[in-house]
Amino acid sequence: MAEAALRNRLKEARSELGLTQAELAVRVSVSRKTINTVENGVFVPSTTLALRLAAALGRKVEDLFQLTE
Amino acid sequence: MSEAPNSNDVEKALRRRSRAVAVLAVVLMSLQGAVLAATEHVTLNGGRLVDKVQVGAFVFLALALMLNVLTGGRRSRKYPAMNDELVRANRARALKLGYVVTMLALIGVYVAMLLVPLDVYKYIPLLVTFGIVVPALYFSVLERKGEKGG
Repeated sequence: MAEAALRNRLKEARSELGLTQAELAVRVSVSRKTINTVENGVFVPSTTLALRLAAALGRKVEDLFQLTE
Repeated sequence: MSEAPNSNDVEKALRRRSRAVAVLAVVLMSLQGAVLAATEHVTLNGGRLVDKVQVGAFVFLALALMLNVLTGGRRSRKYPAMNDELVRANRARALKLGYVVTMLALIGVYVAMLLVPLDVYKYIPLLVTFGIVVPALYFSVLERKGEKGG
């Protein structure tokens, strides 16, 4: 079975709150580069980081991350 | 209550570490010729002081670079974001490449040793360099990726 790709709406959710990557990075205790690579789909975050991102943005994890066929 | 670390400070520290790792790796590589020559002369009870210093410097630098790549350096204690999961993933990829390259180099030396007479101990610094410099440089390259963006 082919592995499904992970799509995320992190950038949209962050922009809606008016946060920069740096501000979100501080909220979840990672570097801005980590936020950037997650937004660009270069890096797939762990469940822990995904949950922390969702909590920081006031969203559910499944609102931020979806599997695509 | 401690203040949250400034993102700019973390960025600067990350860039500085990436540069430092690359520079240390290049310095370690540049010592190869001198260390290979010095290794022939250094013995437990003999050898020139200059050769011992060169071998000692190589060992110290190799250990320092290895520790820096493995632990993230002292600054990462101040800024935990310098050791976040992206860094840990980059480190794992770099160490995996280092493992493969070192094993290939060892297999190469082993096969060469079967075909031609070799003083294998002379090649140990080279193998150490392969095992440390390759992951260090790759880690530095991976760390520089993803720096752009708002």
